[in-house]
Amino acid sequence: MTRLRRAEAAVAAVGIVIGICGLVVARNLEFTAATGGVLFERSDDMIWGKLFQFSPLGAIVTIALGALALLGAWAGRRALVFMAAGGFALCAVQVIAQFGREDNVFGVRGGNLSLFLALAVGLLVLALADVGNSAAVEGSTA
Amino acid sequence: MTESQTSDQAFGLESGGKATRLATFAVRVGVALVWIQGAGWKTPPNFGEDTGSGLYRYTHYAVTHEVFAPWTWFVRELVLPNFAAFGWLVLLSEAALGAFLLLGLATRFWALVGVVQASAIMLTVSNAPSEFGGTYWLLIVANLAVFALAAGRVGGIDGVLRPVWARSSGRAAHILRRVS
Repeated sequence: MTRLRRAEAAVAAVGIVIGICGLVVARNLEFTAATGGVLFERSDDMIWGKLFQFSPLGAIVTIALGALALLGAWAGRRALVFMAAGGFALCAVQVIAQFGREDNVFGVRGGNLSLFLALAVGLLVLALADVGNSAAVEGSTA
Repeated sequence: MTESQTSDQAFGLESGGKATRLATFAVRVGVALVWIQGAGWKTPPNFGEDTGSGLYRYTHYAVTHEVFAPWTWFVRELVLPNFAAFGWLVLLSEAALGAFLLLGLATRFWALVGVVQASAIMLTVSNAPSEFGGTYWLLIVANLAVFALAAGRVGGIDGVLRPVWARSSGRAAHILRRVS
């Protein structure tokens, strides 16, 4: 596995791990709960002491897209990595469109916008660099 | 030796050993988590303007508990009358800060954005009740440390892609090398 693909796998793994943690904290909530379970909630309930928040649906989508990216990195299928990046970008749009509203089906908060943006941008730039790298290698061997 | 390797050595990241690299990584991710937490409670669409809570309440402290008169004027005359737009700007800025510092992508640029954002927060709430002004000095200094260490080169995407950017003659690659 190349360094770029290992980096793609690492970014995907971050999404999977956070998604699994999200699923654990949201396990007793409604599938599309507008206020999801909170990761790393502080006991003093200060408004800024929280990171990510998921409904079961939001957590499952995060895990599924992370798994898709991991599969793409492992198998060298860049199309899967691009698809996962696009999926995370749509998740970021979902946060912007539904965060703070009753139809917040992923149960997210603003911190999830950072997470989804990081996963989308990270996978996208790494996959694009991989495309450029392959083209350069093919060019030098032609 | 490539130019990229030379500049990484100049920052001491290669010669500093594992402890230095681990600490550099921890500082970057730690600062990213602070911004992610910050983005978490800025709730659209009103950002607390309708109830006098949340981001609106904290922004209003710049007027009721003045820190720096020109900043108070700026908040009173420009920010508060256009609060929804300001709220979105803050949410998107802090979400992007968290995302890019977490990734370690274009890290030095985003660290400077973090310095600006932390300075704005300091000028807004340093004199507010139950606030410790030193918190925001620390946040400014932490972002400066991320900038100074070029912390995205350790365990970040900058470190993975700088050799790729170094081989490219494109303008985007040149800019990304400069800001990483």
